[in-house]
Amino acid sequence: MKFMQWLHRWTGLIILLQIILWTISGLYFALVDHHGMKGHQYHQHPPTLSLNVEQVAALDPSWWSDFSDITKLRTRLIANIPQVEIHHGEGISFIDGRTGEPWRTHQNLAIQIANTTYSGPGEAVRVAAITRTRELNGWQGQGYRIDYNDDLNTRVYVDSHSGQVLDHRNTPWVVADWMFRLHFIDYTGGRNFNNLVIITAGIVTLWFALSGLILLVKLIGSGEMRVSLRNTTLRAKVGNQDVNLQDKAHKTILQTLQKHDIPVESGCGGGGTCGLCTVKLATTTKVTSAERDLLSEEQLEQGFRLACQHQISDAPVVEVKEMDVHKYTLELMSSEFLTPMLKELRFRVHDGDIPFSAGQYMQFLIPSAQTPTRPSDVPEAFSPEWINIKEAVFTHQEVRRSYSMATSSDTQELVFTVRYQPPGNGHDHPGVGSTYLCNMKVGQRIVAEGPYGEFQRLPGADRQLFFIGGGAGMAPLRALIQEELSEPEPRSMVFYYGARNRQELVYAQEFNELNQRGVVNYVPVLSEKQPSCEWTGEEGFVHEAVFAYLAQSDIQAFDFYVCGPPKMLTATLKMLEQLGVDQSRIRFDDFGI
Amino acid sequence: MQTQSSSYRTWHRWLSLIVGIQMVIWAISGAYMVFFKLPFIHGVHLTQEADQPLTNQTTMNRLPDVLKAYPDVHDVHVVRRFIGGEYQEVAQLHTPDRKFLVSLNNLATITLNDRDIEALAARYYKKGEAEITRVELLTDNAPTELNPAHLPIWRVDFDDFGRTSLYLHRETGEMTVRRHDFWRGFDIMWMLHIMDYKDRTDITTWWLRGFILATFGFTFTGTILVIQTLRSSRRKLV
Repeated sequence: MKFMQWLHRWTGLIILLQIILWTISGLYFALVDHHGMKGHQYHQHPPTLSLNVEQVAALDPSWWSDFSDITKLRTRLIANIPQVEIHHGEGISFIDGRTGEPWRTHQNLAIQIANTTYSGPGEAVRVAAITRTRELNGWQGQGYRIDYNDDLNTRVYVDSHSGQVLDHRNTPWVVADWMFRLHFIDYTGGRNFNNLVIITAGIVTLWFALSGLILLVKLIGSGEMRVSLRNTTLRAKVGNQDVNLQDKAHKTILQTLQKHDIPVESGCGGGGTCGLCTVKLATTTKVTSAERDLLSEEQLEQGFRLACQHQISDAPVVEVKEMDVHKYTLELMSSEFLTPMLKELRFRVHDGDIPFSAGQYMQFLIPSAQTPTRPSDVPEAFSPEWINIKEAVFTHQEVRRSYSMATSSDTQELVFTVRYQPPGNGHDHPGVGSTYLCNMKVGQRIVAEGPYGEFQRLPGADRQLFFIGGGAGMAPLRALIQEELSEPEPRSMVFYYGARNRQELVYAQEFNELNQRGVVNYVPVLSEKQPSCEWTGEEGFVHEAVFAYLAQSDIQAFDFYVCGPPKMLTATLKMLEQLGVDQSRIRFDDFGI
Repeated sequence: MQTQSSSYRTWHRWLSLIVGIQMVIWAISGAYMVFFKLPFIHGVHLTQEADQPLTNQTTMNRLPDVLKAYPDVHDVHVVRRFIGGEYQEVAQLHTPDRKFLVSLNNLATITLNDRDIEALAARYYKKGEAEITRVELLTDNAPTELNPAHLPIWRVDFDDFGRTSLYLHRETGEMTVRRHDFWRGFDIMWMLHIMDYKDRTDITTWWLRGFILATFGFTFTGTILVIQTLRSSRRKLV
């Protein structure tokens, strides 16, 4: 199922444009029909002229000995001139019956011949001798193009060698020809639909369509496609509160919860691929293949399922993860640069307070706006780093952006660290969320939803806590450390924090003090040390420094908490895996940029 | 990220029931037509020329006599065709409403019988020894594989891979239509592709147009979904 979804998605992405082209050209064909496409709007069959005995009797047969293996002799009148068409061993030859000489069509005769096949309102206005044309694929030789002054710009092509009309062309024909190019993916004009490109496209499309069909059959089989006009009740336990939600019986639990504004995390929008919309159902609820992929055996046994996978008529009782998420209005109290690119924002909760655990995050509902690309309050000391970022204003849509709280649990005042994302990586504007937030003025308000997340401390009185962080990954780690310090008997803690240079070591003073007091073993690590840093501490990447430290320690004593930019996170998790640290002893918060 | 999900997905799923099935049919029928080369489908490999080279120049001298006997002719073909158990030189005359053969010996009109047709068909046939199972003159009812405008016509069936049928002109014995199972398969695919299940010719039915328009909607919802999925990185911190 998962493979089919993957296949459907990627083949679809590859073939999308061609499917649109097929559809457009197909619609054109269905609207215009054959008659409109041939260029024969003003075409007629030439009148048949009967041969008379005198003409035939006067035929000059002197050419006979010039040809071998003659299989057919055809005699007829072309513009009242007898012509003999000879099919012989080397092809077809045309003879002027009066002289026995090879047939030649002069210009006036060509017009005359063209006129016999023309039924339109125009007249021949231009004649040009040609040897080839893009409008007759594969033809080449001596010939004429005769243009008519009608509304369709008709032109008639006449072959000089045979005295035959090759074909009619006009403006609608050109449009049709392009439609054939699009439909057959043959841009040579040859209308060959057996070419390699379309064969390849055909194979991809076949896989695309068949994977879609298989997915559809599975959907129908699983009962997800039922429709019902009947309303049914979903009994939902949200936190400690019981609510009854009315919706159509065929709706999924996810759809029903979202409709009633009960927040559920969801990344893929109900596709069964992100695994975020976990809820608790009756343990007897059937397990779908998506759930088997995304949830652990233990979770399944406890009744955890994905809300997008079950209809409310099949699973009428649901327990929604105790995620007391609400929307709050936050008012900015202060906004201050801590490092050249990172600001600390303090917000006051305008309506009540937000109970949250250290390590959790809020989603900011960034409105659509026009935002300056650089804040006005860059301190003098940090301005060298901003030298390349020009003053400008960019327009952006509304987005949601998540930021972790950087303090443990003051429910009235929330602190965030926001790292400015300069343009780059293919984006011509800076990060929307970070730029908007960095530009907010004191007193300005913004709506945020939360708290979300399960990046929380593990229990165990004898455990030691090992924090590994980098960049803006500081925020949740700092909150967790503060929370631990507020315990009656804080456990032993190690904190490795990576940055590029000394200026970027956020909250350095605070952690140096904790280090001196001996409560947190704080080890800053610089990866791009400058001479001006005057640095004597650890250098290199933070995961390398941690590796060196762990090589001479008892790994089993630690629980690990990791947060930082994607590369740092990946490298660190890989390092821990190599050391053989048990998965259950590692917690991490994924930036997922 | 909490995406207000599902309305595109719901639309996509329901459209797939109607349009999606037809898209599968388009994909399969399209693939068939693309994979098999068109000349093969047309049966070019099935037949060859069956007339023999003309032997003497004097045949042309008979034409005035032919035209005296048969007026109103606008096109004359002189060929050496296998008729009555031997190759003989004949004139094929075209008048506005028929074409037929005339013997250049006695200027008499030639009528082909089923033995002539069987012998001609065996000479047209290119795939080796011809095993002819049936020779029949069709007059009233054309099979679906034949345009009724060709009637009346001789049908010759062969016992071979692909069940070849050759259709020869009733009066001239000319090779007119070639059919075999791959053509018949192509014809069914064409029918499915243009959705004209009756005559297999009309590409302008409202039925077809409706499906094509719905396909735009189907493709649109699918595009939105694939973009959504590719973008659904779980969340952004920074």
